[in-house]
Formats: sequence, structure tokens, C-alpha cells
Amino acid sequence: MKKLLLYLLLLVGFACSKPNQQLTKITGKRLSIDTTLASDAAIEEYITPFREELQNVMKKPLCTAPVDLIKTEVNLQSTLGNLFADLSYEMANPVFQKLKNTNIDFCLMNSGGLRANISKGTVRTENAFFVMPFENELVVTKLSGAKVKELFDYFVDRRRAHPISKQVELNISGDDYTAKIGGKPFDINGTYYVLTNDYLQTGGSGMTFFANPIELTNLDYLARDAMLDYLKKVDVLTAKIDNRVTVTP
Amino acid sequence: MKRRTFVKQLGGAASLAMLGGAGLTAFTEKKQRHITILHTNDTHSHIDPFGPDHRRNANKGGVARRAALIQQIRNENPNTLLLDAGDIFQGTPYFNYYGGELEFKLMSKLQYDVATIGNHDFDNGIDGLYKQLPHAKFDFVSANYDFTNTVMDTHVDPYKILVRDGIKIGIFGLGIELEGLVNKKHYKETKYLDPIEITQDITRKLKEEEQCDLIVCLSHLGYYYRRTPDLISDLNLAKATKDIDIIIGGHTHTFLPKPTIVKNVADQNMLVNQVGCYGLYLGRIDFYFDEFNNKTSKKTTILVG
Repeated sequence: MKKLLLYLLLLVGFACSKPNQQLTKITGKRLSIDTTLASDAAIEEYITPFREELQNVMKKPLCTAPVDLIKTEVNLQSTLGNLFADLSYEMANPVFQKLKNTNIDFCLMNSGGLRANISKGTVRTENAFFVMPFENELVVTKLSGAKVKELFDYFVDRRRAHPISKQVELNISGDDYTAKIGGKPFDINGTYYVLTNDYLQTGGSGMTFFANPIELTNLDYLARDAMLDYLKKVDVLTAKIDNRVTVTP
Repeated sequence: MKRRTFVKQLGGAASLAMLGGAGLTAFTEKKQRHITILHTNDTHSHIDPFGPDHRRNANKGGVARRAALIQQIRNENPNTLLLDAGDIFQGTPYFNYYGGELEFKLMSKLQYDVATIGNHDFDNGIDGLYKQLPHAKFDFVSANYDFTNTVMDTHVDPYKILVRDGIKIGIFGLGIELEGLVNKKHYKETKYLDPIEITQDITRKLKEEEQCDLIVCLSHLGYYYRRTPDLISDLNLAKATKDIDIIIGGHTHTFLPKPTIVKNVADQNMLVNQVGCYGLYLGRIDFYFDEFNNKTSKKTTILVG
């Protein structure tokens, strides 16, 4: 009996010291999540009410577009870009006016920020999410004339249809250009209130001229919410290529 | 230790026989232990599968399918861990509308064990992330974000240690530099610390103090940056450190067909893996442990693909 007890104590004692575990083999692979897998029914059931509520919100009709509003670039403009810059200005200006008692001069956004077109027909809540999935906020920068010149130089130099609002008339001829803002010739000694979003203001898309402005006002207004508010406000959603930017060789 | 005292205090013949029987089985079979690690990254709120008309990912992905696959693997091996390398948020209206609630709830249902934090997880601000924490029944790790003076303070650990089948697994997290990537007003006072220094510190702790059998790094640093090769990345981290068995990465949406084998600073092979994004794939790594009487190190066979 004593012998057995000793034997047992030895065994148990040995079990308590950490066994020497050694990693002898590793295998690694990638598994596809596709139609070969059946969905987990409980998870599917759990998602369903969330999906349905979201669908109801997203499919809500807000207005009608008689034509496609697209990113296709014509004279460094696009119908979707013009729509976006103008509606941002229209929705943001009253907010800014309330805060600062003055008007925004114009709006510049980036073409890369528009992630989807709006097809003609019924425009729904989901369209605003498709066009603008990001949580960008509208900000107003007070810029010196020199910085606004940098802005125009950038626009002319990059040759991209970055959305710019209709208060601007930019006539590009070769590498040269003339600009008007609010119907008046651009004044390099002036200051301007330019509407953009926080992503661009902090240097996104290489728009460095927005950094360190004379004054920065965050409107606490998501760019997508501005679009949604506009879609709710209008019955007919439309935009066209106009003379805000002209390009002659 | 408790068991030893128990036996000493006992002494009755009947009890001894019972305990003896249990002891003997444990010793006669030197069983192989098997830990499975499953992982995702950059799921970006992709809850439903892609539709049939999607240009690149038609009919791929979907959380309910992922759940079925995970369950199937757990049935094969109950000693399975499920990890995520960040950017759980942002990418579908589910995030815009529910703010990440459903993402966390589903990951909890799928029994994720540990996740790290990606830059997009700050998209509703650090307060927006904090607000969703009650829905997450899994842990967040980040060793190089210092959340002092933020709402996330005390809600994120540098590392977690999980024990499965007697195997001690240390899991630590690394996040990407937020400055220039995330608006300061979103990450607030979060401080970014040097990933290599932190890793040297943490791996020493996990290996020497905690005696972990397996060390996993959940990283949102990005796989590798070809244009800025010196920038910290998973491949650079792997080469500059030791004692990590696998870096599970994210951020760069890198679709690795199989894990990359990298030699660490101590000239030992280890793995770096990343499974793209949007829940299109699940990474699976199986670790097999054998018991030996002596401490001489045995060779580890690595099979990938």
C-alpha cells in the first residue's frame, strides 16, 4: 500500500510540472467562403430583421432623376460632380451663414470621393450611400488668395474633373487660365471661404492648399447627410455640364 | 499544485485507486495536441454575400456561410481559436446605419476570441467604437496603441493568454500609425508606439515570463509596402523580431493564396498570413504539439498551401 502511494505521488507530481510541449508541425491554408457552403440557419435568421429594417430605409424613394448622373468627364466637369459640388454648397451655406454671418464663396471636392453613379429613375436613400460610403464631414476653410491660386493651379495641372461649384468660372487655355469667383475676377490679394470635406482639408488627394487655413470651420454635417437632405428636398434630381470650367487647347 | 496536496491529505485506499487509474491513462498515452487558428481581416461590414452581378466577388463571402464553415471546423477540433486583424467597420450601409452593432454582435455569435483594432474602426470616432463595445463578447488587443486619456483606456489589453488543451497561446495586437490616416478628432489622445520595440518587449514577456507555447501577433500594420519598403509592415516586423509563430495581418487587403514563410531575426521560420478582405476567405492554421521528455528542440515541419 505504501509503495503504491509513493508511486502515485510520483506520477501526480510529474503531471504537475509543465510537460515539454514542442511544436512539431504547422499547416496553413486559405478556405473560400462561397456558394459551396450552406449558410448557418441561426445566423441567417439573426441577420434577417437587421437586413429588412436596413432595406426599408435604403429603398425609400426620395426623388426622380430624369437622366443618368455620372462621373464621365467632359471639359473637366461631370454631371455627378457638378451636382455634388452644387448641392453641398446649397445645403452647407445656410449652416455656415448662421455660424459666421457670411457666405461661402465656392466648393471644391475630389472626383475620387464619388464612388458610384446615379442611374436615371427613382433615387433612393441607398444611392447616397453608394455615391458616398465615407463618413466625411463638411468643413469651410478661409483661404488667402495665394492658396486659392494654388487650388486653381492644382485643378488645371491635374486635369481631373474634381467637383467644383457653379460660383466659379474657370477658363483654361493651354496651361494658362483665368478665374472668376461669384462673378468677380479672382483677386490674389483677397480671402475666400472654400467649402470642402475634412479628408481633403487634411491633405487627401494631394490638396495641400487646404492645410493651415486662416480659419477652419467644421460644420458638423456629413457630406452624405447633406446629399440626403438635398434628395429629400427636391422632386427632380438633375445636373448638367455648363460653363463653370471651359477648356480650349 | 492543488492536486498534489489533495492526494497527500487523502490516504484512503479506495480514493487512491480511483486517482491512480486516472493518473495512469494520462501518462501511458503521450498524445499529440492540436490547436487550430482561424482568422479574418478587413471584413469591412460585409455581412451579406456579394450579389450575383458583382464584377469581382459575385456570390462570395457572407457571415452566415462563414459561421457554417467555422462550426464544421470546431466540430472536427474543439481546440479552435477564431481571430480578427481589424477593420471590422466601414464598407456597407450596415455600418452607416447601425454603427457597427451588428458586426460585433455577429462576431460574438460566431465566438470570435480576440481581435485587434484597424484604422477604420475609428470611423465613428473613438467614442463610436467605445459605444459598440457592449456588443462585443470577445477581447480586443493592442500593444502599441496607448489609450490613456481616452474612453478606450482599460478596455483593450496589450495581449491575451488563452489555454486550449493545455497549450498556452499568447496573442498580442499591433495597430497602424493613425496620424495622416485617421482624423485626429476621431482617434483623439490615442498614442501610437513603435511596433518593433513593443514586439520585442511583449514577445520576451510571453515567451520567458508567461512560458507560452504559441505566440500570435494580430497586426493591422499591412503586409508590405513595395513603394516604401522600409515602412513598418508584417514582413519587416517578422524579420526584425523573434519568438512569434505567426503574424495574422490586415490593412493592405492582401490576398495571399497561402501563408508566407519568413525567417525571423533568430533565423527561425515563422508565418505571415492575410486573407484579403470582405470575408471572402477564412485563414486556417493548424499547430501540432508533441510531448517530449527532454527539452532539446525538435524540428518543426511547416506545410502551406
